[in-house]
Amino acid sequence: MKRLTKKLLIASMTVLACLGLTACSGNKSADTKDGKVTIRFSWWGNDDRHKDTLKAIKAFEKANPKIKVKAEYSGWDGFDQKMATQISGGTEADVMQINYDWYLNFSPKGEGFADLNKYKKIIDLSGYSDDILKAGEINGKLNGIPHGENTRVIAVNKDILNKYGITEYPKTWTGWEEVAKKLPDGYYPVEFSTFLDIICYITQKTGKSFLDEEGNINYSQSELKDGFDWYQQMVDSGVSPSRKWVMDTVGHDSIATTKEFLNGKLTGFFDWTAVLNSFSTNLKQTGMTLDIPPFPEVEGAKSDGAIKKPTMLFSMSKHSEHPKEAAKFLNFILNDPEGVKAMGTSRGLPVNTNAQKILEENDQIDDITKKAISYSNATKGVMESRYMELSQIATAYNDITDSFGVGKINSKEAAKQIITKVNAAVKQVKSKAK
Amino acid sequence: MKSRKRYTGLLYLTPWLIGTLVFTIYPFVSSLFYSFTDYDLISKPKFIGIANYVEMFTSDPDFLNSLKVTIEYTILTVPIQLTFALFLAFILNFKLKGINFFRTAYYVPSILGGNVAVAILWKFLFTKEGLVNQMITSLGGKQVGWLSSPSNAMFVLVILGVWQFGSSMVIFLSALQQIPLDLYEAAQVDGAKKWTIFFKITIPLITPTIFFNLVMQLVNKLQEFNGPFLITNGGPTKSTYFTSLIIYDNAFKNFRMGYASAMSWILFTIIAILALVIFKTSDRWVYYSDGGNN
Repeated sequence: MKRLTKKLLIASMTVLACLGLTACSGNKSADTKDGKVTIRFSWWGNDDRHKDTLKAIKAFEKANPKIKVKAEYSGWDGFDQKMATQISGGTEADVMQINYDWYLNFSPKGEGFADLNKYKKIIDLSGYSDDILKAGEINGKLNGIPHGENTRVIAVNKDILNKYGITEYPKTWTGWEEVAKKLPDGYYPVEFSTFLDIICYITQKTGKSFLDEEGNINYSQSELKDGFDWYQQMVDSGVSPSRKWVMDTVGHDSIATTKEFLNGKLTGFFDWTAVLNSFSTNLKQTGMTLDIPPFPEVEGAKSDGAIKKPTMLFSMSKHSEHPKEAAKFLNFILNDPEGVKAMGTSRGLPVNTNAQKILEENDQIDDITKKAISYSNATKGVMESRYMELSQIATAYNDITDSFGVGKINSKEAAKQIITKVNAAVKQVKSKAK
Repeated sequence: MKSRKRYTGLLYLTPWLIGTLVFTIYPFVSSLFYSFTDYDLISKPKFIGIANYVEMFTSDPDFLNSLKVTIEYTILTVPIQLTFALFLAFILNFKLKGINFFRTAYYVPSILGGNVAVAILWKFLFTKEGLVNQMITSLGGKQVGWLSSPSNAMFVLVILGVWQFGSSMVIFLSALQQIPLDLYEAAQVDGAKKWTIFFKITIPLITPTIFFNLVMQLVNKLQEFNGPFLITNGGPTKSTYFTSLIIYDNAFKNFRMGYASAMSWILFTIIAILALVIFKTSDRWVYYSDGGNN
């Protein structure tokens, strides 16, 4: 049992570490004698984000000398496990960066976090549309404020396409089949192989999201089958490499760092707007530029098909002893010019229009982000359900897409399995909420 | 004085004792408790009897599949690894110049073997344009999809497992060195051939070591985690989705700690039964030259 006990050991150590944290920094000792109040803010991210957020915290402490903000941050790996242990022990930070699907586990009935509607006087929500805020609402309680909006996007290596005589981007999927013919052997215009990409196509055709807010499937079996058939056609016509090719070349890493992307053989890819920055930065080092073509459409499309979701949300702990100070801090990083400037775009572009203005005036928005904004604004999307990327559900549809991609099952069987397995996974998740 | 000495001894033991109690015994016992509950780490565990155990055998094909592929992996890896380890130990037992260097060199992989870095290196070796495929194409062969076909992916993990032969090899080596030389001399005088000597003298005398290595490796391989987690992520199509991986996913990705605990107890039971079977049959094939414990 060596490895298993090792894992348990890590788990118990995390618990101990958390206990330790509360012991020294916890609620009781938070107020120091000089009337200073300490609140905690936790987030995940890479170094850019850490630097920018720490800058924002400093600016806040300067403007509010009576409040001290303790930063708790790390990379993404294992962050949700840390959150789970903290929330289960009631020792979570006062202000937290939260991932969209976590609410289903941490706050199934909307009572896991503080209701931010109560702090409307402190937190200015005028920069957010009702539609956007709805993503953070559970049972009428505002559990979180979405930071940004993520849109499914196709991005391509402009220089490679130009080199082979493609100067104008096709507007349809058939147009991309023509592009594939113009590229030399071993080059693929757009890599995609996940279920989300198939969903984009079905969304275009039907105008509906895959799952509704309750986790029910909106598509019929024949619509799903059609989606898998379309994906196969894209592979057969050379638009996308096959699933097998992707498994061997990319594995479960990010395409952004693979050789095939950097030398241009993988000319484009399907992903979220929030990650474009890292692709663009990597590609710049090879002297090439990333561009966003219009989202290709099928005939008779009912929507643009670009699925959308919030990038991340900010929540407040319901156990916070200083909710007013926490709300004040949250408002500072979301709305205050100093806070917004310091936070920058390390979390992607904020959806808060007030913050957008500040960043624009301060010239803090880079090229690819600007392109992504105009793309997102020009592309009507369908907001994806919170259930969509929940681990159990994602595992279910990813496994089936893999099986289809390597030819283990046909499109009819894949469509059938999607319905039964996703339904089963949703049911399992929901059983917890009761 | 005597009792004081005993307390001193116990005092020296406490760090270990506390470590074992807190980090081994407690999680071990509590996981048995959690295995009968529905526990998501956040709400209180809810007692649900044997429902977890029923679920994994009746409505979770992934779990049954994980047992199948884990056992497949173990059956493939352990014999090859032990044969290989014995073979190398045999060679490294020759009295050659600089043999100590080679002994060290061959032991290094097992120090690095379980390491995360090696698993990642392994993945790079076997990607589409990785070193292995480059060697194959330069010899005129065709690129092989190492990670996209179920049998190839299993093969990649098996040779990673086999490659970690160092610790078994060192133990074999020490066993080989303890065989009395006069037995070999006597056999040679009687005109026995080299193969005969190996199978009739060497092997029987190191059966206790084979027995030990077999049990250790079996226990180890049934819990293999790093390789599939980092190289194949259980794929393609669950063909390397080992039991330790499904336990991890359920505990930390799906927040089903109770279900994951139940799974680890099944894995533990399987390992215990296998070890017991080997122990029981060991009387028939393990030879202790000093009479053993009988």
